[in-house]
Amino acid sequence: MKNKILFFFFCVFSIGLISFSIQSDPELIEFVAPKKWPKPVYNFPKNPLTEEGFQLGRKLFYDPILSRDSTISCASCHLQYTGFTHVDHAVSHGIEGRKGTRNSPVLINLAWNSTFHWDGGVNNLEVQGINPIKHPAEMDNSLEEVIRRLSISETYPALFKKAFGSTEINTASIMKALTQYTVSLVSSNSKYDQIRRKEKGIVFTDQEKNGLKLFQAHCASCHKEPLFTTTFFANNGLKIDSLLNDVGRYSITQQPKDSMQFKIPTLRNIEFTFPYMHDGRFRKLKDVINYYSDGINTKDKHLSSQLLTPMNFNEMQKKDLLAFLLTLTDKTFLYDKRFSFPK
Amino acid sequence: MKGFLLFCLIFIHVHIVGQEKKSIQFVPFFNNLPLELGKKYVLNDSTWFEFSTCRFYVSNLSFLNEGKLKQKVNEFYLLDLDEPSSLLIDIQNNQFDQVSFSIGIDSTTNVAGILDGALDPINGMYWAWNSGYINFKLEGTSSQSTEKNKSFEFHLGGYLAPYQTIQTVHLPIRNNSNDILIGFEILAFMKEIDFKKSSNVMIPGSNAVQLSSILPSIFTVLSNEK
Repeated sequence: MKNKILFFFFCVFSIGLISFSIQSDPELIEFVAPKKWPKPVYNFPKNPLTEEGFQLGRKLFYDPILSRDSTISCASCHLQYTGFTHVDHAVSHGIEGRKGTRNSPVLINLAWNSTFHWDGGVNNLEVQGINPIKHPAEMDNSLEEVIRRLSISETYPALFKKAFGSTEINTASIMKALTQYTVSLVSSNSKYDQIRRKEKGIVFTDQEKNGLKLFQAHCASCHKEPLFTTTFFANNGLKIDSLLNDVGRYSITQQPKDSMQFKIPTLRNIEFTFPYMHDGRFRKLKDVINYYSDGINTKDKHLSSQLLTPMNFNEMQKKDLLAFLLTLTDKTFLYDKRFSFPK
Repeated sequence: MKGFLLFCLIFIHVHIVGQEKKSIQFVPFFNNLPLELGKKYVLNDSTWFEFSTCRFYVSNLSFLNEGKLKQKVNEFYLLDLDEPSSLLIDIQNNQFDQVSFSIGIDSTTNVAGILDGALDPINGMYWAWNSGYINFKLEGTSSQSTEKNKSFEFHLGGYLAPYQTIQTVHLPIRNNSNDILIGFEILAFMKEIDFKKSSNVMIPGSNAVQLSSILPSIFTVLSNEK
Protein backbone atom coordinates (compact mmCIF):
# COMPACT_ATOMS: atom_id res chain seq x y z
CA MET A 1 0.00 0.00 0.00
CA LYS A 2 2.78 2.32 1.03
CA ASN A 3 4.60 1.66 -2.23
CA LYS A 4 1.50 2.43 -4.24
CA ILE A 5 1.15 5.76 -2.52
CA LEU A 6 4.81 6.52 -3.10
CA PHE A 7 4.46 5.58 -6.77
CA PHE A 8 1.42 7.83 -7.08
CA PHE A 9 3.34 10.80 -5.66
CA PHE A 10 6.28 9.98 -7.92
CA CYS A 11 3.97 10.13 -10.97
CA VAL A 12 2.40 13.41 -9.89
CA PHE A 13 5.85 14.86 -9.28
CA SER A 14 7.16 13.71 -12.67
CA ILE A 15 4.17 15.08 -14.57
CA GLY A 16 4.61 18.36 -12.73
CA LEU A 17 8.29 18.43 -13.61
CA ILE A 18 7.60 17.72 -17.30
CA SER A 19 4.89 20.34 -17.63
CA PHE A 20 7.14 22.81 -15.81
CA SER A 21 9.92 22.29 -18.33
CA ILE A 22 7.50 22.60 -21.28
CA GLN A 23 6.31 26.00 -20.02
CA SER A 24 9.02 28.20 -21.50
CA ASP A 25 10.20 31.35 -19.80
CA PRO A 26 9.22 34.65 -21.40
CA GLU A 27 11.89 36.23 -23.56
CA LEU A 28 13.63 39.08 -21.76
CA ILE A 29 14.10 42.38 -23.57
CA GLU A 30 16.77 44.82 -22.51
CA PHE A 31 15.63 48.44 -22.31
CA VAL A 32 18.41 50.41 -23.96
CA ALA A 33 18.46 54.13 -23.21
CA PRO A 34 19.79 56.27 -26.07
CA LYS A 35 23.44 57.28 -25.64
CA LYS A 36 24.16 60.37 -23.53
CA TRP A 37 20.57 60.47 -22.28
CA PRO A 38 19.86 60.54 -18.55
CA LYS A 39 19.10 57.25 -16.81
CA PRO A 40 15.45 56.17 -17.04
CA VAL A 41 13.58 56.50 -13.75
CA TYR A 42 11.21 53.59 -14.27
CA ASN A 43 11.97 50.66 -11.96
CA PHE A 44 12.56 47.95 -14.58
CA PRO A 45 13.68 45.21 -12.15
CA LYS A 46 10.21 45.25 -10.57
CA ASN A 47 8.59 44.54 -13.94
CA PRO A 48 11.22 43.06 -16.27
CA LEU A 49 10.44 43.71 -19.94
CA THR A 50 9.67 40.60 -21.92
CA GLU A 51 8.50 40.11 -25.50
CA GLU A 52 5.36 38.36 -24.21
CA GLY A 53 4.62 41.09 -21.66
CA PHE A 54 5.16 43.84 -24.23
CA GLN A 55 2.90 42.15 -26.81
CA LEU A 56 0.19 41.57 -24.21
CA GLY A 57 0.37 45.22 -23.18
CA ARG A 58 0.18 46.26 -26.82
CA LYS A 59 -2.92 44.10 -27.36
CA LEU A 60 -4.57 45.59 -24.27
CA PHE A 61 -3.67 49.11 -25.36
CA TYR A 62 -5.57 48.66 -28.63
CA ASP A 63 -8.48 46.63 -27.20
CA PRO A 64 -11.83 48.41 -26.50
CA ILE A 65 -12.66 45.58 -24.07
CA LEU A 66 -11.29 47.88 -21.36
CA SER A 67 -14.12 50.42 -21.73
CA ARG A 68 -17.55 49.87 -20.19
CA ASP A 69 -19.42 49.68 -23.50
CA SER A 70 -16.44 48.26 -25.41
CA THR A 71 -16.29 51.26 -27.74
CA ILE A 72 -12.96 52.91 -26.97
CA SER A 73 -9.43 51.73 -26.32
CA CYS A 74 -6.36 53.54 -25.01
CA ALA A 75 -5.45 54.16 -28.65
CA SER A 76 -8.68 56.11 -29.23
CA CYS A 77 -7.13 59.11 -27.48
CA HIS A 78 -3.47 58.15 -27.95
CA LEU A 79 -2.83 57.64 -31.68
CA GLN A 80 0.61 56.56 -32.70
CA TYR A 81 0.85 58.70 -35.86
CA THR A 82 0.39 61.84 -33.79
CA GLY A 83 2.81 61.02 -30.99
CA PHE A 84 0.18 59.06 -29.07
CA THR A 85 -2.13 61.99 -28.44
CA HIS A 86 -5.65 62.78 -29.65
CA VAL A 87 -4.93 64.94 -32.66
CA ASP A 88 -7.32 67.79 -33.47
CA HIS A 89 -9.12 67.45 -30.11
CA ALA A 90 -8.69 70.25 -27.57
CA VAL A 91 -10.03 67.83 -24.97
CA SER A 92 -10.80 64.18 -25.63
CA HIS A 93 -14.07 62.33 -25.39
CA GLY A 94 -14.64 58.98 -23.74
CA ILE A 95 -17.55 56.57 -24.09
CA GLU A 96 -20.90 57.98 -25.23
CA GLY A 97 -19.13 61.14 -26.39
CA ARG A 98 -18.50 62.31 -22.81
CA LYS A 99 -15.97 65.14 -22.84
CA GLY A 100 -12.99 65.41 -20.55
CA THR A 101 -11.39 68.60 -19.32
CA ARG A 102 -7.80 68.26 -20.51
CA ASN A 103 -5.82 67.72 -23.67
CA SER A 104 -4.75 64.11 -24.06
CA PRO A 105 -1.01 63.99 -23.26
CA VAL A 106 1.53 62.41 -25.60
CA LEU A 107 3.01 59.03 -24.64
CA ILE A 108 6.65 59.62 -25.45
CA ASN A 109 9.71 58.64 -23.43
CA LEU A 110 7.62 57.82 -20.36
CA ALA A 111 10.48 55.79 -18.86
CA TRP A 112 12.07 59.12 -17.87
CA ASN A 113 9.00 60.41 -16.05
CA SER A 114 8.09 59.91 -12.42
CA THR A 115 4.82 61.86 -12.56
CA PHE A 116 1.97 61.62 -15.05
CA HIS A 117 -1.07 63.72 -16.01
CA TRP A 118 -0.99 67.48 -16.47
CA ASP A 119 -1.21 67.88 -12.71
CA GLY A 120 1.31 65.14 -11.91
CA GLY A 121 -1.27 63.37 -9.77
CA VAL A 122 -0.11 59.93 -10.85
CA ASN A 123 3.19 58.95 -9.26
CA ASN A 124 4.14 55.80 -11.14
CA LEU A 125 3.60 54.65 -14.73
CA GLU A 126 2.24 51.31 -13.48
CA VAL A 127 -0.78 52.91 -11.81
CA GLN A 128 -1.52 55.41 -14.59
CA GLY A 129 -3.79 53.03 -16.52
CA ILE A 130 -6.28 52.76 -13.66
CA ASN A 131 -7.38 56.35 -14.36
CA PRO A 132 -8.70 56.10 -17.92
CA ILE A 133 -10.32 52.74 -17.12
CA LYS A 134 -12.28 54.15 -14.18
CA HIS A 135 -12.84 57.78 -15.18
CA PRO A 136 -16.54 58.41 -15.99
CA ALA A 137 -15.59 60.68 -18.91
CA GLU A 138 -13.16 58.14 -20.33
CA MET A 139 -13.78 54.36 -20.18
CA ASP A 140 -16.15 54.46 -17.19
CA ASN A 141 -15.38 50.88 -16.22
CA SER A 142 -14.25 49.09 -13.05
CA LEU A 143 -11.15 47.00 -12.45
CA GLU A 144 -13.38 44.11 -11.35
CA GLU A 145 -15.22 44.16 -14.69
CA VAL A 146 -12.02 44.39 -16.72
CA ILE A 147 -10.57 41.40 -14.85
CA ARG A 148 -13.82 39.47 -15.33
CA ARG A 149 -13.92 40.11 -19.08
CA LEU A 150 -10.27 39.27 -19.64
CA SER A 151 -10.55 36.12 -17.51
CA ILE A 152 -13.43 34.67 -19.55
CA SER A 153 -12.02 35.70 -22.92
CA GLU A 154 -10.70 32.99 -25.26
CA THR A 155 -7.32 34.56 -25.83
CA TYR A 156 -6.22 36.53 -22.78
CA PRO A 157 -5.68 33.87 -20.06
CA ALA A 158 -3.14 32.05 -22.25
CA LEU A 159 -1.37 35.34 -23.06
CA PHE A 160 -1.15 36.25 -19.37
CA LYS A 161 0.26 32.79 -18.66
CA LYS A 162 2.94 33.31 -21.32
CA ALA A 163 3.85 36.73 -19.97
CA PHE A 164 3.53 36.26 -16.22
CA GLY A 165 3.35 32.49 -15.69
CA SER A 166 -0.26 32.29 -14.58
CA THR A 167 -3.66 32.32 -16.27
CA GLU A 168 -4.98 34.17 -13.24
CA ILE A 169 -5.48 37.80 -14.23
CA ASN A 170 -5.34 40.54 -11.63
CA THR A 171 -4.87 44.31 -11.42
CA ALA A 172 -1.11 43.97 -11.11
CA SER A 173 -0.64 41.75 -14.17
CA ILE A 174 -2.87 43.98 -16.33
CA MET A 175 -1.07 47.15 -15.27
CA LYS A 176 2.37 45.59 -15.62
CA ALA A 177 1.58 44.46 -19.16
CA LEU A 178 0.25 47.88 -20.17
CA THR A 179 3.35 49.46 -18.65
CA GLN A 180 5.67 47.17 -20.59
CA TYR A 181 4.14 48.58 -23.76
CA THR A 182 3.92 52.26 -22.79
CA VAL A 183 7.39 52.38 -21.22
CA SER A 184 8.80 51.10 -24.51
CA LEU A 185 7.51 54.09 -26.49
CA VAL A 186 10.87 55.77 -26.96
CA SER A 187 11.32 58.49 -29.55
CA SER A 188 15.00 59.20 -30.24
CA ASN A 189 15.45 59.28 -33.99
CA SER A 190 14.42 62.78 -35.05
CA LYS A 191 16.63 64.91 -37.27
CA TYR A 192 17.78 66.63 -34.07
CA ASP A 193 18.89 63.25 -32.66
CA GLN A 194 20.63 62.23 -35.85
CA ILE A 195 22.62 65.46 -35.82
CA ARG A 196 23.45 65.03 -32.15
CA ARG A 197 24.76 61.56 -32.99
CA LYS A 198 26.78 63.12 -35.83
CA GLU A 199 25.20 60.87 -38.44
CA LYS A 200 26.72 61.27 -41.85
CA GLY A 201 25.28 63.87 -44.18
CA ILE A 202 22.68 65.22 -41.78
CA VAL A 203 22.99 68.89 -40.83
CA PHE A 204 20.75 71.68 -39.59
CA THR A 205 19.75 74.32 -42.14
CA ASP A 206 20.76 77.87 -41.23
CA GLN A 207 17.19 78.56 -40.24
CA GLU A 208 17.07 75.52 -37.94
CA LYS A 209 20.45 76.44 -36.47
CA ASN A 210 19.19 79.95 -35.63
CA GLY A 211 16.07 78.38 -34.17
CA LEU A 212 18.13 76.06 -31.98
CA LYS A 213 20.05 79.06 -30.60
CA LEU A 214 16.80 80.86 -29.79
CA PHE A 215 15.42 77.70 -28.29
CA GLN A 216 18.42 77.20 -26.04
CA ALA A 217 18.32 80.81 -24.92
CA HIS A 218 14.60 81.07 -24.22
CA CYS A 219 12.92 77.66 -23.94
CA ALA A 220 15.43 74.98 -22.94
CA SER A 221 15.48 75.64 -19.20
CA CYS A 222 11.99 74.07 -18.99
CA HIS A 223 12.01 72.06 -22.21
CA LYS A 224 15.40 70.64 -21.42
CA GLU A 225 17.34 68.58 -23.97
CA PRO A 226 17.40 65.73 -24.77
CA LEU A 227 13.95 64.92 -23.38
CA PHE A 228 12.70 68.44 -24.15
CA THR A 229 11.18 68.63 -20.68
CA THR A 230 12.54 68.77 -17.15
CA THR A 231 9.47 66.62 -16.31
CA PHE A 232 8.66 69.22 -13.63
CA PHE A 233 5.81 71.74 -13.35
CA ALA A 234 5.51 75.39 -14.28
CA ASN A 235 3.04 78.23 -14.49
CA ASN A 236 3.29 79.59 -18.02
CA GLY A 237 0.84 82.39 -17.35
CA LEU A 238 -2.15 81.04 -19.25
CA LYS A 239 -5.35 82.56 -17.89
CA ILE A 240 -7.67 80.07 -16.23
CA ASP A 241 -10.54 78.88 -18.43
CA SER A 242 -13.59 79.92 -16.40
CA LEU A 243 -15.60 76.94 -17.65
CA LEU A 244 -12.98 74.29 -16.93
CA ASN A 245 -11.70 75.98 -13.77
CA ASP A 246 -8.57 73.85 -13.84
CA VAL A 247 -6.03 74.93 -11.21
CA GLY A 248 -3.48 72.27 -12.21
CA ARG A 249 -1.05 70.89 -9.68
CA TYR A 250 -2.76 72.69 -6.79
CA SER A 251 -5.59 70.15 -6.94
CA ILE A 252 -3.05 67.45 -6.07
CA THR A 253 -0.80 69.17 -3.53
CA GLN A 254 -3.24 71.72 -2.00
CA GLN A 255 -0.28 74.10 -1.89
CA PRO A 256 -0.98 77.68 -3.09
CA LYS A 257 2.44 77.89 -4.78
CA ASP A 258 1.33 75.11 -7.16
CA SER A 259 -1.77 76.91 -8.37
CA MET A 260 -1.95 76.98 -12.19
CA GLN A 261 1.20 74.90 -12.49
CA PHE A 262 1.02 72.21 -15.15
CA LYS A 263 3.45 69.56 -16.19
CA ILE A 264 6.01 70.73 -18.73
CA PRO A 265 5.33 68.56 -21.80
CA THR A 266 8.02 67.16 -24.07
CA LEU A 267 8.27 68.93 -27.41
CA ARG A 268 9.27 65.81 -29.30
CA ASN A 269 7.02 65.26 -32.34
CA ILE A 270 5.30 68.55 -31.59
CA GLU A 271 4.62 69.02 -35.31
CA PHE A 272 1.85 66.42 -35.02
CA THR A 273 0.55 66.76 -31.47
CA PHE A 274 -1.79 69.73 -31.93
CA PRO A 275 -3.77 71.30 -30.38
CA TYR A 276 -1.45 72.55 -27.66
CA MET A 277 -1.43 73.37 -23.91
CA HIS A 278 -3.20 71.51 -21.07
CA ASP A 279 -6.64 72.46 -22.41
CA GLY A 280 -5.68 72.41 -26.08
CA ARG A 281 -6.48 76.10 -26.47
CA PHE A 282 -3.91 76.74 -29.24
CA ARG A 283 -4.57 75.01 -32.53
CA LYS A 284 -1.34 75.91 -34.29
CA LEU A 285 2.29 75.81 -33.31
CA LYS A 286 2.64 79.40 -34.45
CA ASP A 287 -0.07 80.40 -31.92
CA VAL A 288 2.09 78.84 -29.20
CA ILE A 289 5.18 80.73 -30.35
CA ASN A 290 3.19 83.98 -30.54
CA TYR A 291 1.91 83.43 -27.02
CA TYR A 292 5.36 82.90 -25.52
CA SER A 293 6.78 85.75 -27.57
CA ASP A 294 4.23 88.46 -26.92
CA GLY A 295 1.19 87.06 -25.10
CA ILE A 296 2.36 86.45 -21.56
CA ASN A 297 1.20 88.77 -18.82
CA THR A 298 4.60 89.25 -17.19
CA LYS A 299 3.00 91.03 -14.23
CA ASP A 300 1.35 87.74 -13.18
CA LYS A 301 2.71 87.17 -9.66
CA HIS A 302 2.75 83.40 -10.01
CA LEU A 303 4.40 83.28 -13.41
CA SER A 304 7.44 81.01 -13.76
CA SER A 305 10.56 83.10 -13.21
CA GLN A 306 11.98 81.99 -16.58
CA LEU A 307 9.15 83.82 -18.35
CA LEU A 308 9.43 87.19 -16.61
CA THR A 309 11.41 88.79 -19.43
CA PRO A 310 9.29 89.06 -22.58
CA MET A 311 10.86 87.26 -25.53
CA ASN A 312 9.42 89.57 -28.21
CA PHE A 313 10.71 87.59 -31.18
CA ASN A 314 10.60 89.23 -34.61
CA GLU A 315 8.89 87.45 -37.51
CA MET A 316 12.14 85.96 -38.75
CA GLN A 317 12.99 84.58 -35.31
CA LYS A 318 9.55 83.03 -35.00
CA LYS A 319 10.08 81.23 -38.30
CA ASP A 320 13.52 80.06 -37.19
CA LEU A 321 12.19 78.70 -33.93
CA LEU A 322 9.39 76.91 -35.74
CA ALA A 323 11.89 75.38 -38.17
CA PHE A 324 13.93 74.03 -35.26
CA LEU A 325 10.86 72.56 -33.54
CA LEU A 326 10.06 70.62 -36.69
CA THR A 327 13.44 68.85 -36.41
CA LEU A 328 12.02 67.07 -33.35
CA THR A 329 9.72 65.00 -35.56
CA ASP A 330 10.66 61.32 -35.41
CA LYS A 331 8.94 59.39 -38.20
CA THR A 332 10.71 56.17 -37.23
CA PHE A 333 8.80 56.38 -33.95
CA LEU A 334 5.49 57.57 -35.40
CA TYR A 335 5.43 54.75 -37.96
CA ASP A 336 7.19 52.03 -35.95
CA LYS A 337 5.22 48.84 -36.71
CA ARG A 338 6.22 47.42 -33.36
CA PHE A 339 4.00 49.99 -31.65
CA SER A 340 1.09 49.85 -34.08
CA PHE A 341 -2.24 48.00 -33.92
CA PRO A 342 -1.40 44.30 -33.46
CA LYS A 343 -2.60 42.29 -36.43
CA MET B 1 -25.40 39.46 15.86
CA LYS B 2 -22.11 39.99 14.02
CA GLY B 3 -20.59 41.32 17.22
CA PHE B 4 -21.68 38.27 19.15
CA LEU B 5 -20.22 35.95 16.50
CA LEU B 6 -17.02 37.94 16.63
CA PHE B 7 -16.68 37.46 20.36
CA CYS B 8 -17.43 33.72 19.96
CA LEU B 9 -14.72 33.59 17.33
CA ILE B 10 -12.20 35.24 19.62
CA PHE B 11 -13.16 32.92 22.47
CA ILE B 12 -12.76 29.79 20.33
CA HIS B 13 -9.57 31.06 18.78
CA VAL B 14 -7.96 31.83 22.13
CA HIS B 15 -8.66 28.31 23.30
CA ILE B 16 -7.64 26.41 20.19
CA VAL B 17 -4.41 28.17 19.41
CA GLY B 18 -2.82 27.68 22.82
CA GLN B 19 0.79 28.62 23.39
CA GLU B 20 2.50 27.99 20.05
CA LYS B 21 0.97 30.85 18.15
CA LYS B 22 -0.69 34.01 19.28
CA SER B 23 -2.80 36.62 17.68
CA ILE B 24 -3.79 40.22 17.85
CA GLN B 25 -7.50 40.77 17.70
CA PHE B 26 -8.81 44.21 16.84
CA VAL B 27 -12.18 44.89 18.44
CA PRO B 28 -14.34 47.80 17.25
CA PHE B 29 -16.46 49.79 19.70
CA PHE B 30 -18.91 52.61 19.58
CA ASN B 31 -19.73 54.24 22.89
CA ASN B 32 -18.39 51.17 24.72
CA LEU B 33 -20.67 48.82 22.77
CA PRO B 34 -19.40 46.41 20.12
CA LEU B 35 -19.57 48.30 16.83
CA GLU B 36 -21.61 46.68 14.09
CA LEU B 37 -22.11 48.02 10.59
CA GLY B 38 -25.68 48.89 9.66
CA LYS B 39 -26.80 49.35 13.28
CA LYS B 40 -28.12 52.67 14.57
CA TYR B 41 -26.42 54.00 17.69
CA VAL B 42 -28.46 56.62 19.54
CA LEU B 43 -26.46 58.78 21.92
CA ASN B 44 -29.26 61.06 23.04
CA ASP B 45 -32.55 62.52 21.76
CA SER B 46 -30.90 64.39 18.93
CA THR B 47 -27.69 62.51 18.18
CA TRP B 48 -27.34 59.24 16.33
CA PHE B 49 -24.79 57.44 14.17
CA GLU B 50 -24.91 54.55 11.75
CA PHE B 51 -21.88 53.10 9.97
CA SER B 52 -21.75 51.41 6.60
CA THR B 53 -18.00 51.12 6.04
CA CYS B 54 -15.03 50.98 8.36
CA ARG B 55 -11.73 49.82 6.90
CA PHE B 56 -8.13 50.76 7.50
CA TYR B 57 -4.56 49.64 6.93
CA VAL B 58 -2.28 48.39 9.68
CA SER B 59 1.42 48.19 8.81
CA ASN B 60 4.87 48.26 10.44
CA LEU B 61 3.61 45.92 13.17
CA SER B 62 6.43 45.79 15.72
CA PHE B 63 7.06 44.14 19.07
CA LEU B 64 9.35 45.67 21.64
CA ASN B 65 10.72 44.44 24.94
CA GLU B 66 12.29 46.84 27.45
CA GLY B 67 12.58 49.44 24.72
CA LYS B 68 14.33 47.12 22.26
CA LEU B 69 12.81 46.05 18.98
CA LYS B 70 12.25 42.27 19.06
CA GLN B 71 10.42 41.79 15.79
CA LYS B 72 9.01 43.82 12.92
CA VAL B 73 6.47 42.27 10.56
CA ASN B 74 6.83 43.43 6.94
CA GLU B 75 3.21 42.96 6.07
CA PHE B 76 0.28 45.20 5.18
CA TYR B 77 -3.05 44.31 6.74
CA LEU B 78 -6.35 45.65 5.47
CA LEU B 79 -8.80 45.54 8.36
CA ASP B 80 -12.42 45.58 7.29
CA LEU B 81 -15.38 45.46 9.67
CA ASP B 82 -17.35 43.73 6.96
CA GLU B 83 -14.91 40.80 7.16
CA PRO B 84 -14.40 39.87 10.82
CA SER B 85 -11.53 37.50 9.97
CA SER B 86 -9.52 40.49 8.72
CA LEU B 87 -9.46 41.86 12.28
CA LEU B 88 -7.40 38.92 13.48
CA ILE B 89 -3.63 38.93 12.93
CA ASP B 90 -1.50 35.90 13.80
CA ILE B 91 1.77 36.74 15.48
CA GLN B 92 4.83 34.91 16.83
CA ASN B 93 4.94 33.97 20.45
CA ASN B 94 7.70 36.33 21.55
CA GLN B 95 8.35 38.01 24.87
CA PHE B 96 7.39 41.67 24.55
CA ASP B 97 6.00 44.49 26.63
CA GLN B 98 5.02 46.90 23.87
CA VAL B 99 3.38 46.65 20.50
CA SER B 100 3.47 49.41 17.91
CA PHE B 101 1.95 49.72 14.46
CA SER B 102 1.12 52.30 11.81
CA ILE B 103 -2.35 53.23 10.68
CA GLY B 104 -1.84 53.60 6.96
CA ILE B 105 0.77 53.15 4.27
CA ASP B 106 4.27 54.63 4.21
CA SER B 107 5.41 57.00 1.45
CA THR B 108 7.81 54.52 -0.19
CA THR B 109 5.00 52.03 -0.70
CA ASN B 110 2.75 54.83 -1.96
CA VAL B 111 5.07 55.49 -4.90
CA ALA B 112 6.02 51.87 -5.59
CA GLY B 113 3.66 51.36 -8.52
CA ILE B 114 1.18 48.55 -8.81
CA LEU B 115 1.02 46.14 -5.84
CA ASP B 116 -1.19 43.18 -5.03
CA GLY B 117 -2.83 41.47 -2.08
CA ALA B 118 -4.00 43.93 0.57
CA LEU B 119 -2.50 46.73 -1.55
CA ASP B 120 -4.37 45.87 -4.78
CA PRO B 121 -6.16 49.07 -5.90
CA ILE B 122 -9.23 46.91 -6.46
CA ASN B 123 -9.78 46.90 -2.69
CA GLY B 124 -11.25 50.40 -2.88
CA MET B 125 -8.54 51.91 -0.70
CA TYR B 126 -6.65 53.62 -3.52
CA TRP B 127 -6.93 56.99 -5.23
CA ALA B 128 -6.07 56.68 -8.90
CA TRP B 129 -6.24 60.41 -9.82
CA ASN B 130 -3.93 61.36 -6.96
CA SER B 131 -1.96 58.13 -6.64
CA GLY B 132 -1.89 56.88 -3.12
CA TYR B 133 -3.61 54.78 -0.52
CA ILE B 134 -6.54 55.72 1.64
CA ASN B 135 -5.22 54.86 5.10
CA PHE B 136 -8.55 54.95 6.89
CA LYS B 137 -12.08 54.91 5.52
CA LEU B 138 -15.22 55.50 7.57
CA GLU B 139 -18.64 56.02 6.02
CA GLY B 140 -22.19 56.17 7.26
CA THR B 141 -25.00 58.49 8.25
CA SER B 142 -25.49 60.68 11.28
CA SER B 143 -27.72 63.36 12.74
CA GLN B 144 -24.54 65.49 12.87
CA SER B 145 -23.98 65.52 9.12
CA THR B 146 -24.65 68.76 7.26
CA GLU B 147 -25.42 66.81 4.07
CA LYS B 148 -29.03 66.57 2.92
CA ASN B 149 -29.06 62.79 3.16
CA LYS B 150 -27.21 62.92 6.49
CA SER B 151 -24.26 61.02 5.06
CA PHE B 152 -20.64 61.38 6.04
CA GLU B 153 -17.53 60.05 4.32
CA PHE B 154 -14.04 60.20 5.71
CA HIS B 155 -11.36 58.92 3.35
CA LEU B 156 -8.13 59.78 5.10
CA GLY B 157 -4.85 59.52 3.26
CA GLY B 158 -2.01 61.44 1.65
CA TYR B 159 1.74 60.94 1.84
CA LEU B 160 3.17 64.15 0.29
CA ALA B 161 4.70 66.78 2.60
CA PRO B 162 3.34 68.69 4.41
CA TYR B 163 0.16 66.61 4.41
CA GLN B 164 1.40 63.20 5.52
CA THR B 165 -1.33 61.23 7.26
CA ILE B 166 0.24 57.94 8.35
CA GLN B 167 -0.01 57.54 12.14
CA THR B 168 1.86 55.42 14.65
CA VAL B 169 0.27 53.75 17.65
CA HIS B 170 2.28 52.56 20.67
CA LEU B 171 0.57 50.34 23.20
CA PRO B 172 2.05 48.87 26.39
CA ILE B 173 1.31 45.17 26.91
CA ARG B 174 1.12 44.13 30.53
CA ASN B 175 0.60 40.44 30.06
CA ASN B 176 1.67 38.87 26.80
CA SER B 177 1.04 35.26 27.73
CA ASN B 178 -2.37 35.53 26.08
CA ASP B 179 -3.69 36.79 22.81
CA ILE B 180 -3.70 40.56 22.55
CA LEU B 181 -7.01 42.35 22.29
CA ILE B 182 -6.81 45.87 20.91
CA GLY B 183 -9.97 47.90 21.05
CA PHE B 184 -10.71 50.95 18.96
CA GLU B 185 -13.44 53.37 19.96
CA ILE B 186 -14.98 55.06 16.93
CA LEU B 187 -16.97 57.49 19.11
CA ALA B 188 -13.65 58.96 20.28
CA PHE B 189 -12.90 59.76 16.63
CA MET B 190 -16.37 61.08 15.78
CA LYS B 191 -16.41 63.34 18.85
CA GLU B 192 -13.43 65.30 17.53
CA ILE B 193 -15.01 66.08 14.19
CA ASP B 194 -16.45 69.48 13.45
CA PHE B 195 -19.27 68.40 11.14
CA LYS B 196 -20.09 72.01 10.26
CA LYS B 197 -16.63 72.26 8.76
CA SER B 198 -16.49 68.87 7.12
CA SER B 199 -18.95 66.03 6.76
CA ASN B 200 -16.77 64.73 3.97
CA VAL B 201 -13.02 64.48 3.63
CA MET B 202 -12.07 62.75 0.39
CA ILE B 203 -8.72 64.25 -0.60
CA PRO B 204 -5.28 64.65 0.95
CA GLY B 205 -4.76 68.01 2.66
CA SER B 206 -4.98 69.77 6.02
CA ASN B 207 -8.40 68.31 6.93
CA ALA B 208 -7.13 64.78 6.33
CA VAL B 209 -4.07 65.48 8.46
CA GLN B 210 -6.13 66.87 11.32
CA LEU B 211 -8.58 63.96 11.37
CA SER B 212 -5.80 61.38 11.01
CA SER B 213 -4.02 62.80 14.04
CA ILE B 214 -6.99 61.73 16.18
CA LEU B 215 -6.62 58.08 15.23
CA PRO B 216 -3.81 56.90 17.57
CA SER B 217 -5.84 57.92 20.62
CA ILE B 218 -8.77 55.64 19.77
CA PHE B 219 -6.74 52.43 20.23
CA THR B 220 -6.39 50.81 23.66
CA VAL B 221 -5.30 47.41 24.91
CA LEU B 222 -8.24 45.61 26.47
CA SER B 223 -7.51 43.72 29.65
CA ASN B 224 -5.86 40.46 28.68
CA GLU B 225 -5.30 39.11 32.19
CA LYS B 226 -6.28 35.49 32.61
